[in-house]
Parts: sequence; structure tokens; C-alpha cells
Amino acid sequence: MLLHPLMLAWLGGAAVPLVLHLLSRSRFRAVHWGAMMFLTGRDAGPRHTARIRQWILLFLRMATVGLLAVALARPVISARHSLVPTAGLTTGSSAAVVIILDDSPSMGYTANGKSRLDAAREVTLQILSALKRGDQAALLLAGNHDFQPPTATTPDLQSIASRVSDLQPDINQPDFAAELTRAADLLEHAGPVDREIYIISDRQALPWRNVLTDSFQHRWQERKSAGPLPRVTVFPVGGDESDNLAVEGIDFTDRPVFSDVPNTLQIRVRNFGSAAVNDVPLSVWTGTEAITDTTISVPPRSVRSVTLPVLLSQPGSQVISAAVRSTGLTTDDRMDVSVDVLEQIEVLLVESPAASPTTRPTTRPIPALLSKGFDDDSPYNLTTAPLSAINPQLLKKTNVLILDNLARVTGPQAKVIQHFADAGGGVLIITGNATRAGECNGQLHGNGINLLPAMLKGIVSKPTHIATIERQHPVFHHLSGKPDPFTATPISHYFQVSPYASEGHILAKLASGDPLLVESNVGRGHVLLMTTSLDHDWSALPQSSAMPQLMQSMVRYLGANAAVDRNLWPGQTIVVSSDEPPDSNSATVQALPAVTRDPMTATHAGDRTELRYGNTSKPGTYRVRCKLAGEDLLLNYVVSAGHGSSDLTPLSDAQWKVLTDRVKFDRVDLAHTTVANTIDSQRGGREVWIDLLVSVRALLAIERLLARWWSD
Amino acid sequence: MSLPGRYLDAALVEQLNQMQLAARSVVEGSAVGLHRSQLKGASVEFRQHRAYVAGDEPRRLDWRVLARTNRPFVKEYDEETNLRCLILLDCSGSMAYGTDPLNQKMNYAARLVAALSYLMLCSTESVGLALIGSKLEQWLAPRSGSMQLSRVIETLDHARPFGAAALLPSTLQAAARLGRRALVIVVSDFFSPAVEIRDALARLRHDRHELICLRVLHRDELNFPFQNWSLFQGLEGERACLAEPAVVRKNYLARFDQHRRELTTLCRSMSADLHTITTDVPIADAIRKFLKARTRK
Repeated sequence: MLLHPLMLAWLGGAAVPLVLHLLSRSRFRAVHWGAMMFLTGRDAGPRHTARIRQWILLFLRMATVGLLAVALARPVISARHSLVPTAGLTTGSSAAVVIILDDSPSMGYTANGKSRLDAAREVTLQILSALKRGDQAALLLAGNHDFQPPTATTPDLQSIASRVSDLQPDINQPDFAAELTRAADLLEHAGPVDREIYIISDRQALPWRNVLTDSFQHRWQERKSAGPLPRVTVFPVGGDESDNLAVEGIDFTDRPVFSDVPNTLQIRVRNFGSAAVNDVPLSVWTGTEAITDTTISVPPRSVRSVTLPVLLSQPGSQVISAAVRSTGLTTDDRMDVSVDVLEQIEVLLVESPAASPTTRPTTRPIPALLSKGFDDDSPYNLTTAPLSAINPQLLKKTNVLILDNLARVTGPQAKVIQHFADAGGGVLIITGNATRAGECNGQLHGNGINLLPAMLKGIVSKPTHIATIERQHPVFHHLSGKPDPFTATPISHYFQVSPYASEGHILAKLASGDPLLVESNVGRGHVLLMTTSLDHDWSALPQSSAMPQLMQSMVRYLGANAAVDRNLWPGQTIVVSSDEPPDSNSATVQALPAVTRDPMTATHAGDRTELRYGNTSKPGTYRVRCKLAGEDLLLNYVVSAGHGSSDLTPLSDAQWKVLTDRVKFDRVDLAHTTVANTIDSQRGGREVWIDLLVSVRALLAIERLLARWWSD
Repeated sequence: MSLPGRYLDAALVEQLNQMQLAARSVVEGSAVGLHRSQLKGASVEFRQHRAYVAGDEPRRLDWRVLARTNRPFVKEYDEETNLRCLILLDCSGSMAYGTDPLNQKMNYAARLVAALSYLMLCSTESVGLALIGSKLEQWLAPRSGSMQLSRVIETLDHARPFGAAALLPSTLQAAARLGRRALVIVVSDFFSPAVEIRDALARLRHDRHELICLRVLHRDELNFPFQNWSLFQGLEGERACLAEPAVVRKNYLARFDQHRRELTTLCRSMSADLHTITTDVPIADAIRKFLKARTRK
């Protein structure tokens, strides 16, 4: 078999010596010669000898040119005739082949009108057509996790070809380590045949990250004990282009999102390439309504964020989309996010009676803090109730519960609050002069209750101020890029607390080192503990200009669960839950842009009913229509696989070297050979062009030697 | 150009004149033990006066002429001598090689023969000429005297290289005609089998002739300088041979050298002098070299 059969055209060069010979003969010079007796002799022997010598030299010259042409064609001696076994070969009779085809998003990269997947598809078909009678094959799709891998190789190569023909880039990031393991496992049951694995992928380094680890290489080599390792051949397709711009994230910095209130939308755009991208158009819209059109410039290999104030006029489930305009890989140019836009969240304020009437201020600070900055359109609907009035029904309508100047809580009350937090409600506990540390610790922590993020120790009466705040936390997002406004705010009394190691997370500290704000997660909800009071004699926080925003931010953070997160991963089930039995007959799902609607399945769990839809393997927007409590609902779910494949950085030379040298993979550049020739050569064949070149050299030496010997 | 002038131009004659003494001593030297007593015999018939040259016997001076003209002349006589010289000139086809007429072996050999004849006739020897080819083509019996040179040149002028060499039969014929012993100079390329040459020379030696072999060759025959494909057409009717010179050169030279060694050996065994002369050497130089070599013997 020849790797470069076209080079055989140079075989015609072998005729050159013959042509020269014949031309020389035809253009001879006549010489009238006297000393013929020394030239021909009386017998014909010497003349025949000379003629034989001429033909021998001619043959040597022709053979030299011919062998050179054959060497250029890079012939391969089939291993089936070789006595030396090579990797992947057992009998040399037939082969079991596993083709690992990368159909990840990066394979959608298009250059010159042809995607990398198109090239990979061609290579796969060439592999299939190069297989011999009796060979068996199996196909593994590395980027498709829903693809049911075959359990054995099959001689039905046509079915594999059909499967490949209509292949489109999938959504998942492949892991070649896992695919190789799967392929090797599959080949272990193939019997005593040649075992070959072909990986067809672009040059993206990401899928190889686990193959390049020492642990994989160790495990791969360990397979030798079970028999010869399969021969692994990598066919890289496409180029080394790695320039890619992707919308990496789109999110509201503060949740929940309110209607008719400015919300901050942050869009992150990443430049994976090595060249800066300047003034790329960036569009943001919801539904058919444009939010903004702007441009963005991103330095190489970095992320740039665009922060936009977004005013959404209509409450309800909406899809916010952001897209940049780029070339090459376009599947990651757009990102959608589903957001529930709320009109208001319900806040229940529970105030304990003052321990001493003289210590309570005449004005209640929390309502004022929450309404600050709003006229009558505050998104916080505040209701006040005594602690004794707390019951499940009341809390069912509540999103955030504020326990101001927390005093004694009974056990049942604690359980109700615990249940409220477990279900996603937010609780803000503010200590005060009515707070009794021992009772609170006992009632709000332990025995299945973990509402208290930190154990209260005792009141510290010592002037201090807020020293540090965790600016990354959503509670303090509104202070992003601004100086700390609380440094000059005096605090004279506070509770010394000790956060529970597994639950409490300190968000702000006092200059004394004691926590001021501690958070813990309870069930699906959050609890915030403020260790000082909003009373004037405890601190000057209520008078601080920054306190209204802090209070609103804390309440908004705690009420985030009022909005349901409708952003899903592929395959994640859409669940619409309700305490009231929905009309399951009217519940449908429409996978946009399709117009067909699939019914949802209704299931009952206790006193709750759930509508489910599980066919969400494809990314996109799924629109749910259902009727709850006689009200028609339209909910938008966004299924996104993320952009894990957006980094197109190719394998470096060092990484290729690891694959070829240490893992013993063959890398075949199809710019220099063909698939068929590669397969034939690798089936244990041995390239003999070096041997031929040595032979050419030897022939040249012999020809020169003989010519000199016979002519001197 | 006159007929003698074609073979003996003035410049050559002038050079030959300067070699007369050496030539005579050489010829005499070659006859030591054979003719000395007879050469010392009395003169028979006055032939001519000639200018005295150093080495002439003073007794040969013509005192009368010296007294009258005050210039020394010696008397020369046509002496009866037993020293006869026969030159066998090979006229076979192989002697026709040479693209340049001056370098053609036949022409060269003819001029060489004419020069030798001139030298010997000047030394009052008798010179004969036999043209040998496939047979004895021409026979000119050895004679002395000034007319003999004209006859030699006329015979040379009629010589044409042609046909296959048959050294043995033609030599046998010449030997049969030559009769009593003589100095035999064979001028040839000796492109004949060594066995045949040996038999021919042996026949001459058997008749107790003194033998000198002058081998006339073209430089090409020594070097075989051809490069490109050539069709070698035999001058003696051999079958043509198309050959790449680079391929056949080594074999040619080897066989040529082998033949040369055989020729040298058999000449030595026959007590014959063998001198090889190439046609690119001027005649005078060739003769001078030949005479020098003869003097050393």
C-alpha cells in the first residue's frame, strides 16, 4: 500500500536513463577504427560482455530512479505478512473499530463555508469505506450525552454511515478520556481481532484535558495486562483557529426582579481568542422588545461585563436574551435567561414589645427604611403582626419575615418559622434590648431548628463601628464600586455572637472583631442575623443614609425565592408545583420555535400537585401554559448547556507530544495522506521508504563503482 | 610540391643531414661483427664529393680540392657492401587511421620510411622497400645510390592502406625475395595477433636478418579518448561495433596493453629492437629518439 500513490508518477523517470541510452545510441559518431582487434577481439565474447555491462549499468540507473519514485510514494508493507507484531494487532485477519466522533459545539466552527463537523463527517465515512470485509465498527458520539452508546461492534457499517450523515453539533463538552475508556471496554469483547480506535475531532484542547492527566495514562497503560492496547489514531480536522467571542453569562445582580423598578442586568462576554475584539455589536432584548443595542470591546483571553439598568414594565415570566455578533463559532454568541418579574414581595414585620418603654423609639425605623425612595409603588408590601399571630397560613403569603428586637420564641412558633424558611422564605433576625440570649439560643437552635446563624453570648456595651463588609455578597451589591458608607456610623451596643461553624457565615464585622451580620442557609431559604439593634440607643444605623438601601437589599435578597428559577440544564425536568390542583388537561409545553405543544404530566405529592415535563434535552426556550386556581399562567423555561466548549484553544505541541509519545496515539494530518492509506499502513504495516532510499543510495554506489571499474 | 617534397620537405632534410653521422654510426653499430671487415674494403667507384664533417677519416680528404678551394671535402665512393636494409611497410587498412592527413598513420609511416631511406642512402647503404598488406604488395630490391631514394619515394607514393593485414604470408614472401642476410626494418602498427607477428619475425630471424620494429601508432589508439556513443567501423573489414566508450575503454586498454607486452616480449626473444612512435611526434624527433636509443645499445 502506498501512502502517496501520486508520487508513483515519478516512475516514468525510470525511463529517462533508457531514453538517454537510446538517444545516445541513435546519435552515435562513426569512427573508422584500426585497432578493432582490441575492441571486439576475434571472438564475440568481450563485445557481448560490454553489451551486458551496458545493460547492467542501464538497469541500475533505471532501478535507481524507479526505486526513488517508489520511495517517494511511501510504500507500506502490510503487517499481515509481517512477523513483527505491533500495537493493536492480534491476528491480522479482521479488525474491530471504534470511531469516536466529536460532535461538540466547537465542531460547529465554520470556516470557508464548511464546518469542522462536515470535515469530521467526511473522515468518518472515509474510515468506514476503508474498512475491509469482515471488519466491525462502532460509533461513539463524544458530544452527545443522550446518545446511547453501542454495546458491541457491528458489521453493519451502513447504519453507522447513516447515523453520521445527518449529524449536527450537539451541546455537550466531550471527555475523550471517558470515551476512550468506553471504546476500550467495548473492544475487549471484540474477540481476537485487530483493535483500532479512531478519534475524529477538531484540535480543541478541552476534550483532552483528562487524557493528558497522569492518572488516565496510568490506567490506559494498565490495560496492557488484559491484552494488547487498541491502536488509537487521532484525525484532527479543521484549523487551529481559536478566536471566539461568547456571551458567557447574563444575570440580574439583584433578585428578585421587580417590574417598574430599575433592575441591574449584567452581561458577561468572554474573548477566548488571542486578539482583542473591538466594538462588537451587543444586543439585549426580551421577547420582541429591544432593551438595548450597544457595542463591546474585549481584550484577548479575558472577560468584560456590561451592566445595564433594565426597567421591565410587565410582571410575569420573561426571557431576557443577549447576543454578540461574531464569526467562526456562533452557537455561543447568544444566551437566554428566564426571569420571573415580580410586582411586589410580601414582608411580615414582627416586633417584640420593648423591654423598657423608655428604650424604644417613637418611630418604627423598618417601614421607613423599606419605603425610602419609593412613593406608593414600593416593591415591598410590609405587613406588621405580633409574634403571637404567626401561623402557617400567615407565613404562606409571606416572602420575608423580619423579627425585630427578637424576644422569646415559643417552640411551635420556631417550628413554623423553620418550616417557612425551609420552603424558601427569608428571615431577618434583629437583636435588641428584648432579646434574651439564652432563650433564643435554646429556641432557635437545636432540636431540628437551625434558624439562628450564630449563638448569642451577651450584650457588649462598647462604642464601635462597622469595619468590614463582604462586598461580593448580594446584600452589598448596591455598594459595588462605592466607598464603605458605614465607617463613621457608631454602634454602642451589640450582641457578641459565635457563628455556628457549619451554618453561620459572617457578612459584616465590627471594628471590635465581632460579627455584625451573619447569614445561614435554612432549607431553601436564608436567615440573616443582625447583632445590633435599630434602636437609637444601640446604634446610629437608622440615621445612616446608607441604611435604607441596606435594609432593602437584605429584604430583597431574602425574598429572592419569591421568584422561581426557571433556568434549567439539558434534561432537567420542568416542574410546575402548586398547592392547588392545576388543570392538568390544559397544561402544555411548547419548545420554541416549534409550534407543537406537548402535554405535561401531573403528579401528586401529598397535598401538592406537580406538572412535569422531561423532554428538555435540547437547549432552548420551553413555554409552559397551564391553569392554576382558574388563572391562566404562561411560564418561560430556558434550557441552556452553557458555553463550556467555547474555548477553542488548540492542543499545544507539548500536549500533542504527550499524546503521541507517552500515550502512544498516532496523530495523522490528512493534509499529507489519506484515511485509507493511514489505515492500511497502521494495520501493522511498516513504511519502507527509508529502506528504499538506502537501496537507492546503494544502487548509486554500485553503478558508480561498476561504471568506474569497467571504464578505467 | 614535388613528389620527394611531399615526403621529405626541406626542413626535414636539413634536420636529417645533421643526423647523418649518428645515423651512420648507428647503422654501422648495428652491423658490428657482420660487415666491419668488408666496410673497410677499398673503394670501387667514385660517387661524389661532400663537405667534410667532424669525424670523417682524414685520409678520405681530397687534398687537391682542399688545396684549390681551401675548403675540406671528402671523396665518397659507391662501395660494394654486404649491408643491405629492407624496410617492410605495413599497408593494411589499419594504417589508414587518422583524421588529419598529417597524422594519418600511413602518411606518417611513409614519411618515416622516406626519411630512414634518405639517411641510409646517404650513408651509402643499400635500401629496399616492401609494401606488405594482405600479401606482398610491392617489392623494391635493396640498392644503393642516389636514384634509389626516388624509387623508394615513388613506391611510397603508390602505397594505399587497404585490406586486412596478413603479416606472416607477406613477410614470408618478402623474406623469400630478400635472400642473404640484411637489416630488416618493419614499420607497422602491429595490429595482428602476437602469434602471427612472432611467426613472421621468427622467419626473418631464421634467415639471420637483423630486425628493427618501428611501431607507428596514433595517439587515439593509446588513449582511446572517445566519450560519446560511437560506431567503430573496422578499417580492415571487421564488423562494425556500436559501443559506449566509457564502458569498453577499460577492456580496450587492457587488451591493448596485453598485446604491447606480448609484442615487447617476443621482440626481445627475437633480438629485435622495438620502438613505438606516435604520429603526433615530428618525424625528425622520432628518428632522433630512435637513433639515440640505437646508439645506447
